[in-house]
This record gives sequence, C-alpha cells and structure tokens, in this order.
Amino acid sequence: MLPDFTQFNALLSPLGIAVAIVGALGLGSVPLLRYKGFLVWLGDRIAPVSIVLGCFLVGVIVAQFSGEIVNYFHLWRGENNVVIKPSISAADLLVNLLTISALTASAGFAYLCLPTDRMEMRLSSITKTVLLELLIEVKQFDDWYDQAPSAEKMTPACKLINGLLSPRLAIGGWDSLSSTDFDTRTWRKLSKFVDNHLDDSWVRLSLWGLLVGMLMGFICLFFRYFGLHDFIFHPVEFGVVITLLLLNLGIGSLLISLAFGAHRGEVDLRHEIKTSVQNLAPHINVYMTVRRNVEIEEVAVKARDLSVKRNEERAQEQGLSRPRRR
Amino acid sequence: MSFMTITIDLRAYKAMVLEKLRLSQTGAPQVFENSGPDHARVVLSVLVGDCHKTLDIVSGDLVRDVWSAQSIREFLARGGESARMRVLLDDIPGDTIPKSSALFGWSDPRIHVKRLRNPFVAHLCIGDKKHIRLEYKKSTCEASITFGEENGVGNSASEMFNNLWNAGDEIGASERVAEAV
Repeated sequence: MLPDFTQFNALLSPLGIAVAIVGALGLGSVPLLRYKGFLVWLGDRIAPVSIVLGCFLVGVIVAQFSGEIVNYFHLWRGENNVVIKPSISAADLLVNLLTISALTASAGFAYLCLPTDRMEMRLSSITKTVLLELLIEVKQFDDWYDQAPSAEKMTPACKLINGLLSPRLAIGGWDSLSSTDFDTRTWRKLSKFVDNHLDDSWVRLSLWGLLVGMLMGFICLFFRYFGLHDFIFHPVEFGVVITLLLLNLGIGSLLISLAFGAHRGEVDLRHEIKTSVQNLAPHINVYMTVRRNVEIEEVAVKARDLSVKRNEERAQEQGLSRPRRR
Repeated sequence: MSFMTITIDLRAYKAMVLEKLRLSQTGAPQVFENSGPDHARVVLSVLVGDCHKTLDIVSGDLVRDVWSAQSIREFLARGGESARMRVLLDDIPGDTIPKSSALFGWSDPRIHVKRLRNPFVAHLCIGDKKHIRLEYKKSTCEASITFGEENGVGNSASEMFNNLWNAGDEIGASERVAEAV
C-alpha cells in the first residue's frame, strides 16, 4: 500500500525540483571556490540566479494555488455555465513538455560540455584573430618568441599572448597563470572572461535539475496510471507543467544571459589582448624586417652565383660551337 | 553566438593587407609575413593590383591556385603598351607551360617568359620595383612582404631578379601556346 501523498503533493513536485536545482547550484560552485568565495561568486551572478529561483518560486506558488487559478480562469467551464471535465489531458501536456525539456537538456549538454577546454580554445582563437588583425601570423609570432631574449619573454604582454595561444603547452596550463603575471586591469578582465565560461558547468548542473524535474513528472504519471489520482487535471500535474515550463524559460534566459555576459567579457578581453599585441608588434616587426634583409641577402648571393655559373656555361657552349680557325 | 570560434575570413584578411598597402603609400615601408597558399593568393592579388609598370616574377609554374589570371590581365590593362611583365619559371616540364599555370594560352608581347633549368631556392615577385614578396619557404608559401620600398631593399631585390633573369633560358611563343592548340 503506497502512502497517501495527496496532502503534500501540491508542494512536493515543484519543491523537489527546486531542491534539486539549488543543490546542483551548490555542487556546481565547488570548482569555482578556488577562484572566489561562493557568496562573492553568487553576488556576481545575481541576475541569472534570480531568474531561475524566481521561476521556481512562481512554480511553487502556482502549484499551491492551482485549484483557485483554474477556477478563476474558468478553464473547465463550457457553454451555459455547465461545469464539464476538462478535455485537455494534463498527462498529454506533461509528456509534450517533458519531450521539449529533454530536447532542451540534450541541446544544453551538447553545447556546454567540456567548458574548460572550450574556454581555452576560445582564448586561443581570440588571440590568433587579434594577431592576424595586425598581420602577425601565429608562425611568425612563434619564430619571434623562440629567439626573443628572456627579458622580453617575461613581459606581461608576451606572457599573456604566448600563454593564450597555447595555454596547455606554453606555461603549464591556465592554472599556472596568476594575478602576479599581469597588471591588475588585464587580470581582472581575463578572470571575468574565464569565470563566465566556467559558469557553463553551473548551468550544466542546473540542467541536471531539469532532468530531475522530468523524473518527477514521470513519477506523477506513474501515480496517475496506477489510479492513485483518478483525474484529468490535478493540481499536482498542473504545478509540474507550470514548473517545467518556467524552468525551460529560466534556463533559456540564463543561457542568453551567460552568452551576453560572456560576449561582454570577451569584448573587454579582446581589447586587452589587442593592447598587448600592439605592445609586442614593434619588436616583432623589427625581427621580421631584420629577417627579411638577411633572407634577401642570402637569396641575392645565390642568384648572383647562379647568374655567373650560367654565363660560364654559355661561354663554354659558345666556345665548343665556334668553328676552329686554321 | 559568442561561444563559437572566430576565424578571419579572407575578405577581412584582404582588407588588412590593403590597409598595409595604404600605409606604405602615405608613410614608411610596411613589412609583414604570410603563411599558406590562401594568404599568399590574397597578398599577391593586392600586390599585383597596385602595379602599373613592371611585374617581375620568379615562380614554379605560376599556378592558378595562387596566381590570378584576372589580376595579371588588369595589370596589363592599367599599364597599357608600356607595361612589362617578366616571368621566370623554375618548375615546368620541358619548355611547355602547363595547363595549371595562369599563363597557359597567353601570347601577349608584353609578357616575357623564361625558365630556369633547376628549381631555385626561393620565389619572388616584385611590383613596380617597390613591392616585394620573397617566398623563402616554397612548401608552405611562407614569405616576407614589403610594400613601398623603392630604395635599399627594392634595389637589392631588382638586382637579384636581374641576375636570375640572366640565368634563365628563353621559352618561345610557340611553346607557350602549344597546349592551347
């Protein structure tokens, strides 16, 4: 005999989902604690956190007052004020919403996997793009870096560019960079960009909460099919539907918020990288000019030798072909 | 989406090369380098596009992947009767210009073609004796480019080309259009 949940069902499903999400928030923040405290991290992201928690709060409230809401909006009243049972099956609605949620979760996971790797790739790509905007190819930067004196290699601009181009190889990965390697402003912008990208793990774990919500929805269906709640539009199912709907809206707005935030951070960081590249550009240009002069001189010598050799060959050919005088 | 990788497309790269050219016309000579056939094609199209009088080229076979026949045509149109193009090829089979060459089928008297008996260590393009592209690594199209340096390096490069030209052997007009027939 299964226990009677009817007394608590109005709150159980949305609250369960909310607990799962908030718990995921906590777990997702653990890797970020090494950068800053959880409360500070949370304070920086108050907007997206508020959106998600607000969505759940609304879901909880709607579930709690779902009976009053459907009565107020006359959701199951037909013509002549006759009260009829609703023809919309909440289970069907729930299944459709669960399908949409599954698609959202799948897209989110596919998009957000390996955030750290993507962050490093992103930084490397931005750096390569900025170099190319000053017509410095990565190969030329590498050649210059290989022969640059140690004093130049240790400048913040050089460490930034070399590190970003190959963060795993150049200076042992992102973890080995520290605030002492850069000036405060550059470090702040770099950190902000990195944090925005590392936020992806938090969103990913929030999507785990979405899956938990979907699981709760399936549990509701289970109860319904086994006849524990012989109804079509039960407040619990209504609450779950609203919660899932709002959760999708919340996750969607969170992703958009992160994208915009990451874009803003990227714009700032791009400016810093460009400034660093512009500081390095004169050194690299001098190196390219010197290298060009050396190469032209080397090739010119070879060209001269080739010309002399060919002249000698022609002279020999002419000497052989000239008839001998008697 | 901002999470997607940014790549510089070739139009943007061309705009940057054109900016270098513009800077060389208003100020000091501009030196930069390029890698890869795509960037080489862009640089050469900009270089040839700014030439009016002379174009001196040392190339394998002036392959169409890198050299634009349209750019050459436009150069000849700009220069008119006084335009002069000297092409030294160091990687053609025999005395015939292959179909893959941008010069295939051409018989313009303003284009003078010679060939070197053996591949030379570098390839070269000099435009109006002031724009120079020296390709020092032929396999990867790595090259050093200078815009707007008539004296100094410009003179050295011209002398270098003249020496190579002297070492080259004539290709007759009939051989140049043999494949077309």
